[in-house]
Amino acid sequence: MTISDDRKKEILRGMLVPLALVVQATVVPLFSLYGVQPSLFMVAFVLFALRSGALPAVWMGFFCGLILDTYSIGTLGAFSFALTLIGFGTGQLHERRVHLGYPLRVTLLGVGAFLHDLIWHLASRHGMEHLVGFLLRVALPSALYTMLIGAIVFALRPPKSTVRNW
Amino acid sequence: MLLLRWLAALAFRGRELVSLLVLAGFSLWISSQPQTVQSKFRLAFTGSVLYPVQAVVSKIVFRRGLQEELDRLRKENIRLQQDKATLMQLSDFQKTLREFEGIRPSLSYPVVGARLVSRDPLRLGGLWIVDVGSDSGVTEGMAVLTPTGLVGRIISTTNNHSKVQSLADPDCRVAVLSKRSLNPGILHSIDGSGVFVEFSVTSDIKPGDTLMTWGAGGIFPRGLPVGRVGAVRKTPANVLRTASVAPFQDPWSVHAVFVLLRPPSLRVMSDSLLSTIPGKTAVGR
Repeated sequence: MTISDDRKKEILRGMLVPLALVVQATVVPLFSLYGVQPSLFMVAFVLFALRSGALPAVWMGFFCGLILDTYSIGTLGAFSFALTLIGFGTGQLHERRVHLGYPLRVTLLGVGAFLHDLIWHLASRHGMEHLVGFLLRVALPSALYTMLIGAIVFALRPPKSTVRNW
Repeated sequence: MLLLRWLAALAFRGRELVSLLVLAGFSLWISSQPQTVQSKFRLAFTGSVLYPVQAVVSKIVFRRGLQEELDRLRKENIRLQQDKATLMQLSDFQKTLREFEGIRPSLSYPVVGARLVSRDPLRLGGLWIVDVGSDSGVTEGMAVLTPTGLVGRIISTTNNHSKVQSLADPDCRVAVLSKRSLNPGILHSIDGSGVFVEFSVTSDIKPGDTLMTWGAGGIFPRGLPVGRVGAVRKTPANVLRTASVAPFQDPWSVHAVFVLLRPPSLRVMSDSLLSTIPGKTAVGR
């Protein structure tokens, strides 16, 4: 049984996301500024969703979220729920169907990271009274930091198709 | 049945949405479960999915670590083998030194210890290089011996090395005496494979006699043990006898030697004078 080059690339791309998860848990905390960490995992995940589409992104998001849930002490299912939704939403902008320009991709990453934190907070049932504070003190700075990292990564990895230029 | 098939086709067409609904629904359902159920699920998920992955990763990491350890041990093994070889050489040298201490009082001159660093591959009997030279007081013509007996003489020196002509060298001739009868003979080697003594038919040299240096010429001091006489045979002219000699020191097994620091002024005939005599380039008288 031979594996085509495209399939090999897909497998490799799929392995990069869990790898980013490991890096996120081990290396990224070293780069925290005033307690705010970028989400390298979210960068890899959004890139994966844009490259591979909604279906792989939904499953990838679910399993990576489940791993995060298992190792975190919070509510089980919160990460997997948030990442499944983000994977589905980002996957709708699959590169084969839609071409996003560089600024839009970076903005999408920031919005994705912010929404992920929002969904996670709600799914974790941490309470509405802490929501605004959490979003302003944690989610927003983290999303901006993630956008900064994503801007570098996306510049190095431009989209492969120009189906429809937005 | 038809209904199931229709539902499957519908799910396949909208599989992205179906996946989203199933997975998001499952996530929400599990998040709404009590803490005990969540703990059980965590345990089950860790044991069934994550643990095998972790085990495989750990095994790979472990095997890589083993490989690195193996490489490191191989290198260390090579280094230890080299160290062992060096130590064995030093041990041999020290053993020879200890043996030599026993005969040192019988020598009238100081000695300097040396190790063989090479042998001439073209001359079977052997020209050797030892690791002492003129800086240690070694000069041409000095006797080279081991604790068991004479093995040769210095024929040239540099600052830190000297060339030794062994008894088994075909160009080497040494005047010897029978310790029993004090009758003289000439020790020589024909092809480097064996050592012989040549003596007059009137000389009283018999098998089993111990040979020692004569010392008349000054190159070798008198009385250094050389070897034991073996079978005697007549020469065709019947004016000389030849006997095989078993050297006390096997020239092939020499690793360390001592150079007898006997001043050149004590020699009766200088080396330059000796070299003018045809066929007697290195005769110890």
